[in-house]
Amino acid sequence: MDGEMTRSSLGDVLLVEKFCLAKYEFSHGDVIIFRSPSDHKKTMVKRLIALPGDWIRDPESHDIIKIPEGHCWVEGDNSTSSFDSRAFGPIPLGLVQGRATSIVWPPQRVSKVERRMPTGRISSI
Amino acid sequence: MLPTLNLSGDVLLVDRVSTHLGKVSIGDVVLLQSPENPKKTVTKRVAGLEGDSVTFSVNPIHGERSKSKTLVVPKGHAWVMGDNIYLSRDSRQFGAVPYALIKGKAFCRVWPPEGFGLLKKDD
Repeated sequence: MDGEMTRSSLGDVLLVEKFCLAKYEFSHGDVIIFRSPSDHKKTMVKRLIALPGDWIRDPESHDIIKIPEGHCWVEGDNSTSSFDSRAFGPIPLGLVQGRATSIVWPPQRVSKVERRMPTGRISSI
Repeated sequence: MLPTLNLSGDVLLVDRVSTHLGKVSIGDVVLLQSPENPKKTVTKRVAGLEGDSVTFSVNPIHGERSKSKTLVVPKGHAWVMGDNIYLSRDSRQFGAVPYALIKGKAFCRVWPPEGFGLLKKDD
């Protein structure tokens, strides 16, 4: 199985690539699908901001956090109202179900999902 | 997971359905995708589910004198512990694990033959 359809909370249908799960290789800025850390029946779609070993500044507490081994930091694109790592902290990579590659529905929104990174958020040491 | 499971590798029967249905209870031996390395699978025993308060000693080698800690397992998480409490990397190090990392419930050992039988909830 190389892909599957996922419906995001806004109603877009996404094409999801699962090859990345073979080696758990991700890039900064990927849009990933993962199981909610607080409810195993729910699936969430967020942007991957930081990978293990990165240092990230928590915008709420202004602390610099190191992402632990096997974890990642996810944030929604709508930074004002998104339930993401700013609320629940780094999540284990084991929760990740795949990487969104394109939007396939509705027709007027058909496009590739771009890899995008907010600038100045992380520093790798 | 000594002494319940051997170092040489036991063959277990794993039930993957009841974890989906949320039917994991305290004392079950579960297969878990390691939170520290997603490519690894580990077996641990569930010591607490969401809302439970768990008490554990931080460093059991010191016996009675060691500090013990009590905390409440957060929503959607489980507290897992190895049976060999002196030498186990478990929730005492990496904290409560999200329930979605639990991949199955081991219920029966099929190999080696002398160890054949159901895995008990408590030892």
